[in-house]
Amino acid sequence: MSQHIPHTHPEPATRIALVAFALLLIFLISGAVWFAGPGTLRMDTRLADMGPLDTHSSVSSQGLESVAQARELASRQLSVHLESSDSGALIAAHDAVRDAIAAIDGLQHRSPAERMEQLVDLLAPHRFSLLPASDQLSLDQGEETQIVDQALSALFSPSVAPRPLELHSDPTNSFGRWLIERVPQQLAPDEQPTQVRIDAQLADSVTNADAVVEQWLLARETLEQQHPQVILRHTGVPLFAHEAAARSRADVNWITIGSLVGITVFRSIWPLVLPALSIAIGAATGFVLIALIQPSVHVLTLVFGASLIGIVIDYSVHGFVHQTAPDPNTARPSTTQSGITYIDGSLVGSAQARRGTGLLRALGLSLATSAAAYAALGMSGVPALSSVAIFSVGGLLGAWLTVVALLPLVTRHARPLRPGLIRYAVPVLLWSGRSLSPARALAWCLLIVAIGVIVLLGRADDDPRRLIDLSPELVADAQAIAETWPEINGSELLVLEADSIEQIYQSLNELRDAVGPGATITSLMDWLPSPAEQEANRARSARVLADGGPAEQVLSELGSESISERLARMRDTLAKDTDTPLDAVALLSNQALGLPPLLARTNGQYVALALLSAATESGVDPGVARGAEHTTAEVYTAERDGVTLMNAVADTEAALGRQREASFTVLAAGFAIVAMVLLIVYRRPGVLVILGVPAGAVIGTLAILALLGTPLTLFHAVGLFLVLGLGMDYAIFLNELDASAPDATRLAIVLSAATSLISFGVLALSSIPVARFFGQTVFIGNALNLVFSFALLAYLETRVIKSDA
Amino acid sequence: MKSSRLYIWVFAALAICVCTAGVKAQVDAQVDAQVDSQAKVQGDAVSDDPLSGRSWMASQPSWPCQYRGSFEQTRTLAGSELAVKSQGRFWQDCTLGLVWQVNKPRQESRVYTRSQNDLLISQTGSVKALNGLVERRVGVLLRTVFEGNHEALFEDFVVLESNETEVELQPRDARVKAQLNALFLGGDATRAYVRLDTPSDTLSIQLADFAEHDGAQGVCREWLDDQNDVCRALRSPRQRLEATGDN
Repeated sequence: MSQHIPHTHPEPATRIALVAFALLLIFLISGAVWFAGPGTLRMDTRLADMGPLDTHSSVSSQGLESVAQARELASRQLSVHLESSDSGALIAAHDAVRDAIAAIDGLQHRSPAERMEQLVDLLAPHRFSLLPASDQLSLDQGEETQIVDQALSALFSPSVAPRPLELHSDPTNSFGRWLIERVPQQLAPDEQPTQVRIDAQLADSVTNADAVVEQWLLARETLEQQHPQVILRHTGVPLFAHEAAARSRADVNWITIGSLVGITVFRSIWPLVLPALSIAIGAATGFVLIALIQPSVHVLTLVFGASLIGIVIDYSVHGFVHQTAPDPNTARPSTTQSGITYIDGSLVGSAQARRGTGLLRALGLSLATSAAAYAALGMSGVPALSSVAIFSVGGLLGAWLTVVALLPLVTRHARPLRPGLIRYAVPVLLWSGRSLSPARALAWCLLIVAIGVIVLLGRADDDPRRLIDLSPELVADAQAIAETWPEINGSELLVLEADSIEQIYQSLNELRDAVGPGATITSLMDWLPSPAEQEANRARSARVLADGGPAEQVLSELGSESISERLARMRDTLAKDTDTPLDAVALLSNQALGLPPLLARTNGQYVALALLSAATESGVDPGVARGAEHTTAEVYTAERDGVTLMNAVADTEAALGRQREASFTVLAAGFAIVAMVLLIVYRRPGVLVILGVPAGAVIGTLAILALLGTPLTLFHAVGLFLVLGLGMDYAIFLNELDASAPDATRLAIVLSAATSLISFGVLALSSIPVARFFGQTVFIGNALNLVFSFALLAYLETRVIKSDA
Repeated sequence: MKSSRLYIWVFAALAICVCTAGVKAQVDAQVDAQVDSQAKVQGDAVSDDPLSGRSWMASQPSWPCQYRGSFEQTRTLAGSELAVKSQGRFWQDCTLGLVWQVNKPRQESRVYTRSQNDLLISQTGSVKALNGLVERRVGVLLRTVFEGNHEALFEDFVVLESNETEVELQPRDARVKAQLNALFLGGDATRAYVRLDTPSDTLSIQLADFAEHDGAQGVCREWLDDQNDVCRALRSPRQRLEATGDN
């Protein structure tokens, strides 16, 4: 027989909640409209964003900015590598890949020829500052005739050397030869290539990188079918991010499903509507808050934020169970199996009316303590964790308002719940709680504290590589590509800072000398000579353009007319170049060239970047070369001021380590804040005993993780905040409601613990290490929360600590 | 009874008709296929498909392994009214390589060896290695063209247009295409030409006076008596380079 809960008029508090809920909906709808446009919010996926780049106190903010720009540029790059012994097939595949990339909206590929055109346009006015090494040598040795010979020989040869400027602008083609020295492969590619690389960039305007990568993956499948003779490999941060995002989505889905499974005991769709709605509105509130405050949201924020579902569902479960449970003083128990009283139905309305205030107070306290714990996370100093704090506090508030406002509506359609196997858990937990004598409990606590202390002082592993668990195919592709093009992997950067650009060049020269054959350096010097060298080249060029000089000789030999006019024009260009020499900063920051920010200038201070990579010569073992490069760079930087070696892996590891340590401090602060909230509300010190539930769970979790041999990470530490929040929920509900409705309270706690244990049990099996660590922590911690809650209950049976009891 | 017999006869007739039609269709299809196949074979022999390059290849004389000739070269530079002209002679040996000797307006020789140790020998006898990327690539192209190695040529180039006297080729590799727009080859057994169109130059080479020669010794005595350096370089380019100490 169907039994529905009778309708009651909403209490004043519920009416206030309804108004607040309506305002929240207006806020969310406005937010949705505001952020619906493209480009308003970016999704960060890089692990490096989890840790601030403040590990190098010697590097200025401009230096850090340059490093961040270089890494940002690298993070948007997708590199495709083609390999085949059949050069014809390789070239055909190259063109097909290029066309496929061009067809994908949001993926940009600028061909080397296009970049070269751009470079020629930018450098041509300064061509007399850029002389090839052979011309410099000839002029310095007073052998101008060699330059003439070389120029004429090239014209009479059956060869077609690149000549970017016309004869009358550059009679000796010195600019063309200088370009070939700089970018030989672009002007004269391999005759029979066996490998080619195509680089594409995610456009700046792309907000959904995932969709772009998805298109590329589809295109790749087709390309592989169409070009079976060619091996196609690819690598790049967008691919890694796509994989991580796909796994994150799967995890979030599993958490949601796992959480909702427990709700099925309510036997009606209505009790499912409330948690689902509260999750959706809570997540939307957190998201809109993040979007209002920050230009981007980290994908891990969403993963951690989704874990709040565990707490959010608690509100629904407690609210629903208590609103539908009978009044113990008047209700006629229908069943008394295992010490649990079930709903009889007819007397529920009066119970609901009388216990409304108590439930609201318990829900409010639960919100206050959880929000306080998560707000403490915002003190960590890590941008991504601050986002988690904002998302979580907003999400909790949104979900809480939803539950409080809509609970009467939902309970109106509710049916008596059917707890199933959960009914047997309560007496077991009660027995275990009661069997724990104070002396034994104290001994256990001391043991747990001792192990916890050992853990805190003991093992931790902040290596970010441990947090990345990519598919073997992606890793193999990345390794194979890095063997041919090690610069792709270049996570090591040297930051050089100086008051003048000449000092920068001097340092780069010394670095080049210091680095042996095991490594290569990409720097400003690959592109431009120093200002002093440019000035010397202008002086040399003046001799080339002088009356009777090489330029005139070449033009004369070829029978050119109006030679003096042409020479005058070239001298004019030289004079203009002398007046306004090449601005290296402006050139290298030109986005059309797609170069990393190799040089920047702020307040008269110059910052240059040098990218270190292993040697490309065949026969040099990449591992050995990389080791040599690292050692050389470390030795070099240790000896010089103004030069700092920045290693993305080491930097992230250091930042994560510091933040892990900070998180434990912040967790302690969270406990202190929650204690203050409790003291303010209850106004008696004895209430602090309920903090023993999350405190025991946190220390016990650390002890169990230590026994399992799991090194701690920042993500374990973050999970402990949720353990604190959940533990406080159980303790508060027991303290607030157990006296008036013991069966409902205990059942609600077991039910909500079951849902979160299922959710985080699933998360503990996640393929993403970060999520796995988080899930393990919360799973263990919440299991302990449940056990310790019933130990607290045994304690509460003997003492009364509730202020109004 | 009569009616059932009638039905049997009708069904039998229908079956015979269907079988006959099926066999006929199959035979017709086989005949068509044979006709198509023959037409295709005949068509291939006489095809004038401009994108196949076959007609041009078929019209090419079979070049001997060792031959020589003279050239006139004109380079037209983009943005300039100037035409840079030169003259000289060449000497091709499919086992040793190609010698390109400019006589006017200046004298110098280039040696493109099979071993790809290409050299520039000036009038004064100084030797310089042509080991730049551009020179190396041009060396390979010239050897391929002068050897008449069309198969190798068509691996790197796609035919844009061809007839019996000329073929227009375009590099397959986009990166090469950026530097070399097109390559034209044409001529007959007495005169031939090579034209390279690049973004900056148009290089046109007229070849004539073809004659077979009897090997390096004879040619060196007959042609290169005053530049034995070239002959020595051709036979052992590495040693020649090391001997001069100029690389």
